[in-house]
Amino acid sequence: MVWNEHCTASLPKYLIGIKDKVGIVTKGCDGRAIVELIKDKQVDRDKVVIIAPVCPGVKRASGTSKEEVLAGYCERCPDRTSPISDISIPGSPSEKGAAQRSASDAKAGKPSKRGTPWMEEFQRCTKCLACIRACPLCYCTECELDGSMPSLVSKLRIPSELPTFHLVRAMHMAGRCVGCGACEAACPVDIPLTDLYSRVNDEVERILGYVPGIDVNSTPPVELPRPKVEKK
Amino acid sequence: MAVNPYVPIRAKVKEIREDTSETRTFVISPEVSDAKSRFAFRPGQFLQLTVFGVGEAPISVCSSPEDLPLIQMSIRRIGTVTEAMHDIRVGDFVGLRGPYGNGWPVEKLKGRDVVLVAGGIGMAPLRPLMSTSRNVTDKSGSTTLCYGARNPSLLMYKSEFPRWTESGASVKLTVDQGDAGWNGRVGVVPALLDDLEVDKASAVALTCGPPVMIKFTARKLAQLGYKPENIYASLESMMRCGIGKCGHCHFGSKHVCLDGPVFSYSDMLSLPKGLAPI
Amino acid sequence: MTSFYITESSLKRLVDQLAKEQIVVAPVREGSGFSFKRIADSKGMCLDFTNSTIPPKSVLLPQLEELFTYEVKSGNVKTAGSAGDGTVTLIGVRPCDSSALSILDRVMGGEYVDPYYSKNRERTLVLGVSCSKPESTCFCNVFGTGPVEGSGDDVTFTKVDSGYVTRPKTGRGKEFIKKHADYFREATEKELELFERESDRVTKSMETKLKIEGLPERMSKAFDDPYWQELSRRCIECGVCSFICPTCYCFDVVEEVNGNQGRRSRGWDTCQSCRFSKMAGGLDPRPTKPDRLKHRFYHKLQYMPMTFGAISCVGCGRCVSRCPSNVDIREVIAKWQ
Repeated sequence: MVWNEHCTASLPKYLIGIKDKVGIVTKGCDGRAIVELIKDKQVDRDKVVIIAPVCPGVKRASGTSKEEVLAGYCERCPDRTSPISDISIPGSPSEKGAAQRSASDAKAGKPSKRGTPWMEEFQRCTKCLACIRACPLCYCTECELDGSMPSLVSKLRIPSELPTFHLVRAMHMAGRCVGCGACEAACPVDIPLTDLYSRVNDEVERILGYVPGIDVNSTPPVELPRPKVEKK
Repeated sequence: MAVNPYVPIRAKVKEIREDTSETRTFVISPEVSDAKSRFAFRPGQFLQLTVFGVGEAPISVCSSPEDLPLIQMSIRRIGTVTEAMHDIRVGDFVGLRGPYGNGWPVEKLKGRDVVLVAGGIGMAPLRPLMSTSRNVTDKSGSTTLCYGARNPSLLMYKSEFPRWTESGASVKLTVDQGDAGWNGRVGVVPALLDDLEVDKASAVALTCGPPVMIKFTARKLAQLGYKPENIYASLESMMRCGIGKCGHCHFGSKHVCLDGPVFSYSDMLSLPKGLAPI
Repeated sequence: MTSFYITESSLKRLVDQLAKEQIVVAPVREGSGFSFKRIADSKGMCLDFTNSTIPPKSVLLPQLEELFTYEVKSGNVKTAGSAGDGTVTLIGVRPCDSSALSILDRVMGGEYVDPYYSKNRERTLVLGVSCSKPESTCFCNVFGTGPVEGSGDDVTFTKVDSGYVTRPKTGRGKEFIKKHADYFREATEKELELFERESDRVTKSMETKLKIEGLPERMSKAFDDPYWQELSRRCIECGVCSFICPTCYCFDVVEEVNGNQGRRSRGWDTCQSCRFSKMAGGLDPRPTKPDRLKHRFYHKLQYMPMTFGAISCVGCGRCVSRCPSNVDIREVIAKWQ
């Protein structure tokens, strides 16, 4: 097993459709994703054994120099330990300190990045749909954005439709995105997707007082009847 | 200037016949002066049919090459394009590209007994062989057609059966479920293969229909003693370009649009598992 | 063939001149990586890069390409293809991507020549640039598709001292150098010696060692192995591998309609999509994830060699570095070598 600051994948993705009982090692964001999946009735709580260490935050190569820095979405993380767990692994004092600093920074309202030229960012998009495939909360078998009929946007990469694709996705992430960054890690052209989704979720929190991934008993602001996905 | 293989030729719909509740046969005339040579096809080949504004679908030609420049295509409503095709009226224009694919191994039929096995709309790509069975095949062996459908109303080209029988073919029919007016056989198509008076060692069998029918037909034929290299099936696939470029019809290293749609049973057995109905 | 030499500053001036007369596409910084984009002058061009995220095949096989426009009611086709005329100079192509073009050439030719790709290929001059700092994920050495020169180059530039040893590879490449003779001079013996040493150094620096001889045949025995089931467990079917692969060419075709005006276009597609091979009636020859993932590797490592005589992986390593789940084609090759 490998557990370090390069663990960018979202493991809860693999829980969709599984019938057996599984153990899963979760970063803080992974735990939040599982909370939402339980609320969406895609994961049975008694079918997962959640092993929760203190996450060191994920590092990614930045810029063309490939220097490794803490991912932006980890800087924003409110809690690097999963909100639900069966086995919690206490971290070292420095790990705990780093996690607490991050949480208090986030609480102190470190704002989501502003000034990003979004229309320019969207034009770099390749419509590969990796963001959708990587996201643990995107489990719909028929997606409005993947070009299958009926679809809001073409299957192909039509430049004028790229903002539509991303903005509709951002709206679908409202009250759901837990900031795991799997989308950004998968994106081949490094569009700062979690910046966009966190902006939307800041508004959801401000207007509706709802934060996704924290309380398995709370009701999401948008509740859609989604059938349980069966593994193919 | 070389022809652009992606651009369809405009064609006018001259006649529409209602075959069954699910299928219609369209008689189409390409709007080019050299249609007879441009669209000269072998039985078993297909055309990429465009419904303008909707899309394209690969459809077998079900008429004889002798009827050119008129082309007939029988279309079952199953997806977006074929549904839209059922809204087309006489006088409307569609687009045609092709002919593509390899077609039935007509040269191999000379001097042999020929057994055609069809299920439902699978009769369509075999019909070009029946409508001129003497001329196209030019053989001295026998021609037997084993044809079945889910129920009698889904049998296609019923009005042509007498003509086929007249021309010397033995027509054997069956349905999965009979109805009040049905006096004929009830049962699956492969069951019709028993007791055929053919020289199985050299006979050629050509089959088309739902994949499960092809699977059991091919197996039965092999069991009865037909050689795998003499058993042929016309297979279906998702297609987009029809000319081996888009990758959608990859069956292992083969393209259904270039190396098919007609494959021998021995070829099908050598394709990667799960691709051919075997 | 004679080898030439061009200084860095002369190359920049040459690019400036070319950019005034025609379309020049070069690697430029974009976001946290590099992209091949049209440049107005040499200022934005960056040849000191490992490789772009999206391969330069996008110049010859654009991600979105209009096939033709038509009138819906009459079926009259109005225009076919939207590519312009005139030369396109594509500079900065790495040997792996250049060799990939030779593979695409074979697919797009054959019995039915793809007119859009051929036109783009004919009008594009490929100026390849040798690699000097391969990544740990690069493995072109395994396939002989780099790191010094690619089979699709018209001219190969290799950095030596403060310039490039320039070797024309095709008649077109020779003509190009002749036309711009003022910028080039013959390479000296010293420069050629340095070129040999540099080529040797780079090739030896590549870390991945794999045996590919006989690989296509060995994979025949592997088809039913449970390895593929196990490998596909981590795959999330994101399809990024197809979009960034220089030898991938599969495309989808869509219609766009506005009243009586229609347009049919094609664009990049991925065989990893659950809809790639699914038919209208619902039947699918590759219905599961292991089927599709297996198809990707078999297509690259067996089917393409069977049809065209060459493995269609060029070792660029993009899929290795960008797969979110660490599916690694080098691992697959190592398993069956």
